[in-house]
Amino acid sequence: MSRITQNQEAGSSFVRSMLAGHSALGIAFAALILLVCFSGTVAVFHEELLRWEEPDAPLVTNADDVVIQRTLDHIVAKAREDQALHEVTLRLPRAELPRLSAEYHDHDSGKEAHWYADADGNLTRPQVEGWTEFMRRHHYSFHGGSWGIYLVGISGVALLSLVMSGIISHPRIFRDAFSLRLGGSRRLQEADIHNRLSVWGLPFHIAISLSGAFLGLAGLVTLVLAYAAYNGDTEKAILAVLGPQATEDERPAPIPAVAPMLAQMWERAPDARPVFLHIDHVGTAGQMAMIAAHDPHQLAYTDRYRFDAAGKLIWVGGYDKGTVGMQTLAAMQPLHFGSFGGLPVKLAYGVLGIAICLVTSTGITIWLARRRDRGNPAPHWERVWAAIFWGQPIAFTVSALTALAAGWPPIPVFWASTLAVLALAALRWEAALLSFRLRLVTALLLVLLAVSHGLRWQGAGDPMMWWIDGALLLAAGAIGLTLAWQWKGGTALAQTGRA
Amino acid sequence: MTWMAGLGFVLSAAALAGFRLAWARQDQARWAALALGIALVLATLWAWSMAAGAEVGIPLGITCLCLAGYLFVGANMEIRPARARRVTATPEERKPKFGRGVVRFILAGPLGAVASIGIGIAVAMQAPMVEQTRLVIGATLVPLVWAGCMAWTLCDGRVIRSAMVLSGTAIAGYAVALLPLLFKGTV
Repeated sequence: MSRITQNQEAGSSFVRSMLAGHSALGIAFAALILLVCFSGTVAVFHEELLRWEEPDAPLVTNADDVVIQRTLDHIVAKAREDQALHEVTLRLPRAELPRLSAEYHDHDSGKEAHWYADADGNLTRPQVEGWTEFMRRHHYSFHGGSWGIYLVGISGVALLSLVMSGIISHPRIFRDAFSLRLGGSRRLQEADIHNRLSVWGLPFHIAISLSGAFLGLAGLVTLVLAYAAYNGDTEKAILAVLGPQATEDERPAPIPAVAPMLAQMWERAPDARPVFLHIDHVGTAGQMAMIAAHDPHQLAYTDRYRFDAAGKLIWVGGYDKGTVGMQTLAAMQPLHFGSFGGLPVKLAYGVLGIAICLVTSTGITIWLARRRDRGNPAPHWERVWAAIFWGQPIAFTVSALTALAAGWPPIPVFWASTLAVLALAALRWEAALLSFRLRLVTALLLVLLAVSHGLRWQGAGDPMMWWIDGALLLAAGAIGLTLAWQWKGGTALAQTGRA
Repeated sequence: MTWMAGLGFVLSAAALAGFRLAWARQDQARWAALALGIALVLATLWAWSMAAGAEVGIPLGITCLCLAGYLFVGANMEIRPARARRVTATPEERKPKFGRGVVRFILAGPLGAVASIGIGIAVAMQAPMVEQTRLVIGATLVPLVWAGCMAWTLCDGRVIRSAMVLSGTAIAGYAVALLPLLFKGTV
């Protein structure tokens, strides 16, 4: 046997082995990755959805130091009234979220409250912790606390691993970079969609999987690294990265004034715009204030400025212009959520997010189609996968509908809807028929959500609600088009699973 | 700034057109088109950096190139007539064996995590960087190395080999982290 033939065989065996590993890992993690990626795609728009959910909250486009001070005084008074003065946070208006809100939280009693303020800094109405917050936390942790966060982090590791093995196991992936053949062979069609969306979305896939895994595992990893590098002194590690924290000195002390703190911050960063103000151990000698501010020329969502009990600037995070480590840390969140370029980048992340959901789905449908091609079909798994994929938009829409219309808690509604759709896989419908019906249900639910929301809030002042309702109708229309296309029999799309 | 962003859009489309040309040609011209495409990618990143600063502009440019890639693929879409399903020969899959599956899971999961944390600790403790950078880079390497270990373990046909590589990685990581401390007598 010639050396060239031997090398070719070795290469082919290596690729086959890689492909087998890629398939095994994909099959093991597909459902989890889909859940995380779909919720992440929705979570990119959490600020817009927050506005959509409560379009009657006061619109505040700007808050100067007088307004911020007044809001701070009001929320401190509320917290005192409630005997829950421990930490307070003010979220200041930005272009993406023109709202001024304030909240307090007391660790010991567990009491907390969230308020909206008007343009004068008066607290006008409580903030509803509703569907958007559910959706955001669902993406962070599936509402499973630390273990949920770690699970999401592990799904990021698996996704990153799939990206690595995917590139290595597809030697023609770049050579076929522009081929997209729909119809014809089912397996070829799914492979083309999978590979094309993967190769052109590659930088995005690496960025979100690495940053997602980092953010998900940060708590655990920091603990381990701190234990090893600082002999178990995690506080020292936190001090190195997050800066000084409030101390346990309970003697009463005046709360530092806002204006001088802002002036000190602007001395360092004249272009920065404050995003939030947080004071821990409020009104005690151990209190610590922090202002987070965004510089439009920096990737970091915010840099952090910490002030001592007297309101003197004592620490700057360096997220904007500090060490490589701090800038890397600060880049993780904006890169993960697409919060570095306003609405256009969010829309791009929305498209790329849908693409990664399709990559995940087609990975499974390729495996299912391959089984069919071998004469070993798995119709039950085809139905299960269709139910898992379409269960996500259905469950999100149903939970939003019931939360907005009847105030039902989104968590049980979401999981009940997911399980109900999954149970449909037990019916012996062909997977393509199940998929067709689930798409139809999704489209109808989206229309119902948009129309009911529009009717309920037609007098509200935030125009964002109409954009979101319009987007929901647009999504329903797009799904409707795919249904019409399939109904006419225009292509051979959709014999199994998702499509 | 706005026109530089516009230029960024145009250059990203031009870069993709270069790649598309390289992909379609079989002769020597493909290499010239490929080089042109790469040059235009760099020009795209430059234009976006001019528009929004390098830190924001480079991710913006890369996002723009991803979307342009999808548009070019969509434009190249080919609809074929539906074909009746038939049983065909497809690449062989590895036959699943329960015992090997469990071993691979242990290697890719817990042992991969231990090995990657070892590397993370080594960097966090010994890398010649400032403290914050050591910690953050060490923490970033953990998911990256773990993902690599996972890919390696699941793809390597020989379980023993991947077990040895992962164990070796873990031992090397902890040795790099702890041996200097032993020599200094601080452990």
